[in-house]
Amino acid sequence: MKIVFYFGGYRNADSFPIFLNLFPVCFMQIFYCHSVQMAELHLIGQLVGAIDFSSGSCLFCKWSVSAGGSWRLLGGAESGQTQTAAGTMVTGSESGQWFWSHPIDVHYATKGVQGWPKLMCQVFHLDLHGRCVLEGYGVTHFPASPGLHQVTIPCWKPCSGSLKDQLVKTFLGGSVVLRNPQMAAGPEDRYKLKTSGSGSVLVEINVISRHFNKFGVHLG
Amino acid sequence: MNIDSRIHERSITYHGIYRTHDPIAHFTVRIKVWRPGIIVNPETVESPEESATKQRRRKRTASAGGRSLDFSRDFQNIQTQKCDTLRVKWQEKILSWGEVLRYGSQAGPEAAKSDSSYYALAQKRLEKAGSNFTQLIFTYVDQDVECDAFRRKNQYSSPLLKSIPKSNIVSSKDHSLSESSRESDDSSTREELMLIMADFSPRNTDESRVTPVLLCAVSFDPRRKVISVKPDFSSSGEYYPVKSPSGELFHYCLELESHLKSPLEILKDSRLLNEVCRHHHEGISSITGEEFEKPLNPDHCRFHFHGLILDACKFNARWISVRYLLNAPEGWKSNEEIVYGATQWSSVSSRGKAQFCLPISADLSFNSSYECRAPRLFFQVMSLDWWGCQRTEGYGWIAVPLTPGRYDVTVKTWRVLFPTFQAEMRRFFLAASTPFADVRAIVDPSLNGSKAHCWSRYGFQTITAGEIRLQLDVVTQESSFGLSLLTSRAGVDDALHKSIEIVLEAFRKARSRMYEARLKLNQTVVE
Repeated sequence: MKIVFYFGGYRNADSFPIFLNLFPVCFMQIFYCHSVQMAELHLIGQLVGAIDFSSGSCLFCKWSVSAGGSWRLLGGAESGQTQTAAGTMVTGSESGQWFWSHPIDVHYATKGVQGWPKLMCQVFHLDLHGRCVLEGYGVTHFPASPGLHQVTIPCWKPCSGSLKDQLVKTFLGGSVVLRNPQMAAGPEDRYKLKTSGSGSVLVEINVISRHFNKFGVHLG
Repeated sequence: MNIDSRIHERSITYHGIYRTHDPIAHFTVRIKVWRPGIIVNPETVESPEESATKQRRRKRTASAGGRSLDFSRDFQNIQTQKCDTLRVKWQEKILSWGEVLRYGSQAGPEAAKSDSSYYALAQKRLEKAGSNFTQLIFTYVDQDVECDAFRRKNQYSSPLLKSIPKSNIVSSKDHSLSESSRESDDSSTREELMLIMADFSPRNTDESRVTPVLLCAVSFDPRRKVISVKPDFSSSGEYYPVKSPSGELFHYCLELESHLKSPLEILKDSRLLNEVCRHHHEGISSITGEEFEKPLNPDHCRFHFHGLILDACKFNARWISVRYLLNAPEGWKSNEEIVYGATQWSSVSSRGKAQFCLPISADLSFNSSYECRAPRLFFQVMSLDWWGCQRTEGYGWIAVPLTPGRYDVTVKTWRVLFPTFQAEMRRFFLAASTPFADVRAIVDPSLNGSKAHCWSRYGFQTITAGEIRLQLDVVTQESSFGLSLLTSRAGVDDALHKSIEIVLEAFRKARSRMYEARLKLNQTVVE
């Protein structure tokens, strides 16, 4: 059920003298000029699904949204986990597609453009024995320009370097994971890693910005 | 009766809530029901009384003019098309045909109090309409059993009431006691309900088989003076769909005839709205702070970009890594001394693709007095073989886009082809290849030790390497945004903006000179 509130008397606009109707509107606009409004950003969308992951019939994704120091979360969940989706294999190839349609809805207020919000996701594969095997890490910046964006996040997973690790992985399953998964969200220390690409996560995001223009910020 | 495109359907789930200090007795709502396609514009639908008076008027004019026109057929037409208009006051009982028959026939002592009053109504109706009863709309008022049934069925209470918790969070009283007292309190000041119904069944059907259709439920909370209407009043050109039990589609619209708000109340409400908005903004600014980040220098533009190195493809190697370096030309300033980095070593898949997903970002400021040259991003793709030897697989660069927006960029790369076979062998077996000491030299030869004024790439052989895919978001911030906002509003161009700045600057200088002169004058006077 949608509840509609009408505070002003604009509904019956024709029933009142014009000046009486205009007066509150003018009043409101004068008022608005004097209040401080910080820039706000709405990020509304969904984790659509994953494609191209080669192994694993059941995939789920842990996601988190993070932003820099000048950003404050006003509403919405900053992290979550999708359901486990059994994918369908695309005929003629080894890869499949998995759909989660997991909603993302966050609202930020900010006093600066540095540290633009990022979406980090970790894709796991739930195997037959109920173990969660890492399938990939991925990160993306939320688009800066307002509107609808289709984003593809290429994911990677760390490679086990030694022969022993590879043997263990081949026979027992499991995977090598980062000690600190947040490392995947940043560019630091990446050069120490050896990785292999896994698949891609598809994200659909609506960006709504507010009051950025007031501070001379152009988002495009 | 032409098809009016302005008319559109509205979702029936809209729920209107109105606050009023006016006595509820002034509440009047006008309902129009019509069959779609036949009478499209609800404005043309007249109530039977209206059309009757019009007829009389027309007949009079017709007889005066000596023309004979058949108006009754027109009237009949409307009636057979099943349309109805009615003005309903608050708690005004309008009987349906079934009720007219029921209450009109029985008026004995066994009839309840409400029934006896309905008897008079029914008698009046029967006298007026007789057997020609065409009215679709009728109402159930608060004392009717149907209203109680509706209340029980829907647990009807206004959303405002629902939001208030049933008991206080901290309560020393016995819970059951407070609950019972609340109930008695509720019964004294409970919501009044009125249901506006429609009866689409043919007149000759049995009353027990008639299933009335709910058009609108109006409730009033006398304590809070809140009227809630479901569905909400439709504004001009909007209608709600309704289906009769026989599956026929009808449209109806609800219009508020009375003025629920006085101008003073409108003003009060808009003030309240302003307060709410102000609180919202104050709340946000108390969390974030009131000062928005400005460019480092007041006459600098801020240029912020962030992006991702997504992947690289078409590289012929086992492991590859991309190194990047941002080179800001003269006039650009960066927070960090140098923006550079490297991706992880990613294995190249069977499809020749290596995924990196490395975030890059830079915050630069630009002095607009310099000649505008875009900052450049340089890339060097390295490969790692089984023996741990690193080779340069490709060089590439892009000029960072200067206009804000999102960009998907593909960087094409090349690598140096060594002129001799031996050198190529050396590269293959020993990974001996260092053509550039500095990656920036691929654009600026002076960095590679070349002193030539003009760099010629003649005699320099390269071979095509793979591609790197990038995703970039560019955000810019103007230097003096207060002024720019003003000028952009007035539609003044940049040139005028600059001239205003020059005038302001000259004024500032003159004022400081005047102050100095005044100080000097004061000193000489003192001396």
